[in-house]
Amino acid sequence: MTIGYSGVEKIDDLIDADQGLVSRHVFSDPAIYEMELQRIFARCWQFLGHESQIPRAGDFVSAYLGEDPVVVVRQDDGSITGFLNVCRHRGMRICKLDAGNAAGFSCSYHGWAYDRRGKIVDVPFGEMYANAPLDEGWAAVPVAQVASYKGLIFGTFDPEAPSLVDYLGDMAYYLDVLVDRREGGTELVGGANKWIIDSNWKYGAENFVQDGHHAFSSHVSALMAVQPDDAEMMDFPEGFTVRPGGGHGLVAFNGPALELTTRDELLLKYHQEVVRPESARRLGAERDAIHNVGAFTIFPNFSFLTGFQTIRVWVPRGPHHMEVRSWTIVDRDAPQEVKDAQLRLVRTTFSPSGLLEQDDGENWSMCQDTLRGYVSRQLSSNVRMGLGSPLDADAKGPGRVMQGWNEEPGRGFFERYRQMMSEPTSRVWLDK
Amino acid sequence: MTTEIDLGAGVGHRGVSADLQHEVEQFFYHEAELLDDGRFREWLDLVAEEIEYTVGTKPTVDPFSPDAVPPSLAFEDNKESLTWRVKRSETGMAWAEEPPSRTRYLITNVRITPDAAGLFVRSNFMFYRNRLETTAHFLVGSREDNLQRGPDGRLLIARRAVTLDQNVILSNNLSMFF
Repeated sequence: MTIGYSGVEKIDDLIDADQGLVSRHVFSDPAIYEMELQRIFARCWQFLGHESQIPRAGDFVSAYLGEDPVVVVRQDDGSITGFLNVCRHRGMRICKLDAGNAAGFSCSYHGWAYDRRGKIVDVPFGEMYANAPLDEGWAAVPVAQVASYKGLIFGTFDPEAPSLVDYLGDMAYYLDVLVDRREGGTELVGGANKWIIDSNWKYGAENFVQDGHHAFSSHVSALMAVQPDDAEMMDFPEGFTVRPGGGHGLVAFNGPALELTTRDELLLKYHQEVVRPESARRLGAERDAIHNVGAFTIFPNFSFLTGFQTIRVWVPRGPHHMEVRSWTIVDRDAPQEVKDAQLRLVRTTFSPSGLLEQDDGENWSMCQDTLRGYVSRQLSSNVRMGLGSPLDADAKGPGRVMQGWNEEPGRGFFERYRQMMSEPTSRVWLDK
Repeated sequence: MTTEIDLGAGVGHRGVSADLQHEVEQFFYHEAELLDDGRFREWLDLVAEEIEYTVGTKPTVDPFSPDAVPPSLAFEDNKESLTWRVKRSETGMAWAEEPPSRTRYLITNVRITPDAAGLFVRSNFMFYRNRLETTAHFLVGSREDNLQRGPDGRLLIARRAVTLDQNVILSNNLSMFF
């Protein structure tokens, strides 16, 4: 049996992560996309929201696990649960809203009503189910595991998936730079920016997992625009990457980078004089460089930028499209004017109108467009930058740390992708 | 010529002369032409120094609890950041619009309410962008403007709040002005 249009029998034949070769079929093939929905998005932990979005009992937000719509609800006891946003009768959505507060959810088609936990509480003409009882098994399908990591809510449909902390593994050490840098933790401010990019979700994920070097081509116009007219030619800081395992990864700048994209003195002063010293006290100094600006992907599709403080999900929307859902995350203890400044910065740089974000949408959609060609699809994506380069023997943090711009975390991302796609059973969780 | 149209109590068009209506509409048409032609520096001259400029979307929320979701803004700009956007477009490396798209702004439903600070003007717009070969985006929305007169009597945009009639923006980016 062959997979999709690619003519190969195994996903292994499409990806050689050690050599950094990834068949472009994985960005376009409908059959491979269907496999992703099953083997990645129905199994992996994915971002559902932030606890600050649903502080009170009954607060809910709509989210996606892969293409499956889910509702994430704060329960009366303060816990958080999630369930498929699908009525068990005919499959209509039981919640049409982006967010809100509700005692329960009811389907507009035939009026089946569910409580906050997703249990059926009322069905019109219920007496006609006397011999076909709508018992517990007919509740809205629960998200098998829901857990928070320092305010970030994740969920998975796989009851056999490892715990969230085990899934994050060594990535948690680096994720703390985003969510544990100050005493009070974090919260989301502003609403979500949501937009459709005409490219496969992996273009976003693999960019944020490793790609600092695209900035010097893709985003140079933004840096030129923000710097004063009489500024000296900029010295771009060097970078480093971390491949912590699990398909996760990050890239960060070794020198000042946020300063290249904003001139907001209030925000920069807060960043240098409040965030970094407090973070160094809490987390140690070893991770400090990541505050310069770091780009992260938590496998498969949750990404964020430290410094800018934007978090986002690359929601898969078929092989050729994704929906970006992004938010601004701030320190809860920050003064209001700093929160406002952070939000303004994200809206100016990394919203759909962002001085930097705009060009990613252009580039990724055109990468996707060339996949229409048969010959173009036969090519491999070259994920070979830094192949064979030595690891940083002096690095203090966990994982494979490599200095200089490189695509080592991308090789980790696609190796994990290959493992997940190759293995239809829960044995996959035994691989690291 | 002064034409006063009585649309009833609470409707803000009373007392707006045909001349004023004409002037504001011509101002908007001129602005649209500058944007369509990529004359962004000249467009910036129509923007007051203290401008508050926002572009947002409409989340899907319960009409009885509209505050359930904070406003989703894709632009929150002042004159400085609008100038960055224009400067970026002049680098030749602003790839989202390099080479430039074909764009067309249609401005309509112009409703003027004079206030103490100048003019409060609501309008609707349709915006079409056609890019490279077959890429096409179509954005529709409303604008709320506060217009003021500069020292030379010219109209200036002192505040603009745009609302796109979308929740999930159906475009790879928002590399245009509104």
